[in-house]
Amino acid sequence: MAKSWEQILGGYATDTLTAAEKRKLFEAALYDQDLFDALADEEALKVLLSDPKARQRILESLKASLEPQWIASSHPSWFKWFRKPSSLAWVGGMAAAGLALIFGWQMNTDWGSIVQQQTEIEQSELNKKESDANEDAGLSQPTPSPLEEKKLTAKFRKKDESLLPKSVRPQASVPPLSEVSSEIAKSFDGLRQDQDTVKRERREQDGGLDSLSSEIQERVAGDSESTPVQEKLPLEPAVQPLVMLDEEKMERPADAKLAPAPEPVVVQAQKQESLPPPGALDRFYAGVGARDLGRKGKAGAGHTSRKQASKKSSSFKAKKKNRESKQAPVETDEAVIQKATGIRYSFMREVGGEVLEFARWEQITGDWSDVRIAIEPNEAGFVYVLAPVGRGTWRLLKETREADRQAKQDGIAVKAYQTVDFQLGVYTNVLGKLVISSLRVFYSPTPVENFSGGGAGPDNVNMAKLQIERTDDSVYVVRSEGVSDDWLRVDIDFEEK
Amino acid sequence: MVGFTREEVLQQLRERILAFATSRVGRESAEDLTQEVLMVLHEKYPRVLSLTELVPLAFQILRFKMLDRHRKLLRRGEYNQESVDDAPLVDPSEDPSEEAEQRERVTQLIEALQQLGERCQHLFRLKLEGYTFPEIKGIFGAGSINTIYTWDLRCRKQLLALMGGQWEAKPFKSDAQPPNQETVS
Repeated sequence: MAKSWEQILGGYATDTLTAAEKRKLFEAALYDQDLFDALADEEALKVLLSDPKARQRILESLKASLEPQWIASSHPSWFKWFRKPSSLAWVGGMAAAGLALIFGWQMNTDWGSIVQQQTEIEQSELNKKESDANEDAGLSQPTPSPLEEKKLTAKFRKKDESLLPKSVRPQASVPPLSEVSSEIAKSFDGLRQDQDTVKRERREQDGGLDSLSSEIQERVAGDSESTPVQEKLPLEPAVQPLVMLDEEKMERPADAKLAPAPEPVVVQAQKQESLPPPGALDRFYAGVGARDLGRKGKAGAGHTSRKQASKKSSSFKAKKKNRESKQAPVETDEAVIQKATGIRYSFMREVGGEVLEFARWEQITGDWSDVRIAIEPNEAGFVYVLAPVGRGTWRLLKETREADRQAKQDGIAVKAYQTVDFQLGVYTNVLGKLVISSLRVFYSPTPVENFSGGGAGPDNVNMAKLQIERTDDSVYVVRSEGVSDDWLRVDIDFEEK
Repeated sequence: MVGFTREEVLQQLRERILAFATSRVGRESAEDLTQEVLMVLHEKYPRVLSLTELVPLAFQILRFKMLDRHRKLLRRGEYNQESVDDAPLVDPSEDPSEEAEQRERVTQLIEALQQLGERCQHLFRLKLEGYTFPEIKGIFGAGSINTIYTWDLRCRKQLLALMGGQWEAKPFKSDAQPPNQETVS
């Protein structure tokens, strides 16, 4: 009975056939006895299902049996997604990661405090060992009594407050910048005097230490004749502890010797060693007192234009005073330090109406058109400054005060400690960048006619026999001891290293 | 009525009803039964002209006439000779036996439906809820309407088998004769 009408026979009893399906079914039934018999048999089911109560009862039973399955079948895509192996693998991976996180968190909760305690115990043991070692070392050094320590602390606090600028002192009004600078300069002068006092006392206490230091200096001087400046640098570590001693005593008041603090064992040992050799700065200013330097400084300043001198700011004056204060110990050590011929040079620039000095050309940025180089020999003579202009040709620079008129001679006549400056702006490009790679400064006690002749100057100068020392604002170059050349040559290189 | 007149439909129905009744109640009873059905259609439903209305109407009349014949035979004792005095009086209300029989058939049908598969149950439920086959096709997401027809045919055969091969409850007791068996008076 595999006929087409058979397929729609099931819809007759439930009355779900459309009009077309009914017409097709009944037309077929008029000519097909089997279909007619089947429809007649379906009539009993149709009557049964036509009863509303019976229909409702059957529907409820079907709903009750289909509800769980129907809920599941309402999300077929969700269940199909779960049936995929890749989905199962992803879910498994996520579950494993979650378990790992939970396990790690649990481990941290359970064992984290224990690990931290162990770390703290180890750290405390290390600290204890260190403290024990410090205590052992401290036993060899006598400690001041509480009363002495209290006195020293009070004096140090008072001294420190006096060293502070007025702007940061408690209950003090803000002074002008010039007053602050002068205060700082005075403070440095006071410190320098304290340092000199302490040095003098130490020298008196040590007795024969001076003779020992003079021996060492003689030995160093002998070494300096045969070794370049750079090879002397290894002496610095031996010098460092004495410098620390000086700084330590600088902070103490002059009457601190009434209750002297015990000196560290290391410092006491260092006293048996040599004193530091004099630097280029000390040798540059050796034999000149602060009063003389002030006079000579004024002479130098007068040698420059009065306008420039007036532009020098208070900070510049403070630097000058600081430089003079550095001169003070040299005056006391005249018998030890021998003066050497040398020059001081620096780069000068006006910034905001103030003339600033720089020891290194790298410190100057931007436009070089207003930068000058200042040269200051410590003996009277003649200064020559050469600049390379290309193809082996060198040209003499004109001093700033001589730039606007024809110079009568090549060299610039200077007195001792007189500063002359040279404009570098003529060797800058339109962007203000310096176009020369170096400068060569010569000093000669006597004038020389036709100094360079377009060349690089005399080449028989031994550059290795120079002692160089740099400060914040200047470079001091002096001849090494035992060298008596007439010429002093200093090459200033502008190439970046 | 497209293609068929009322007379053509009735003529075809007479042949089909006679053949059906002959297979169920015998030749002589079948002709009487067919004549009674056509008389009802002619006298009580002269305005029903549509094929889709006449054929189901004929099935209903045929069924009722066959049930009346069964009851008449039972009353006359043609199956079991009983005293008229023992026969109960006619109750104008619904026959409690028919109600009980109806409930029993529904219960039997529910039990049979519970044994069907998920898809068959769902399909039968949708049909009871009044969905047509095209609508059921959309609900199941089937590609063709023939798929739904095939599913329904298989489900109907399974359900009919679970119902014992017929939708009608057996009208006779176990010791009664089959309805198509002619009694000899």
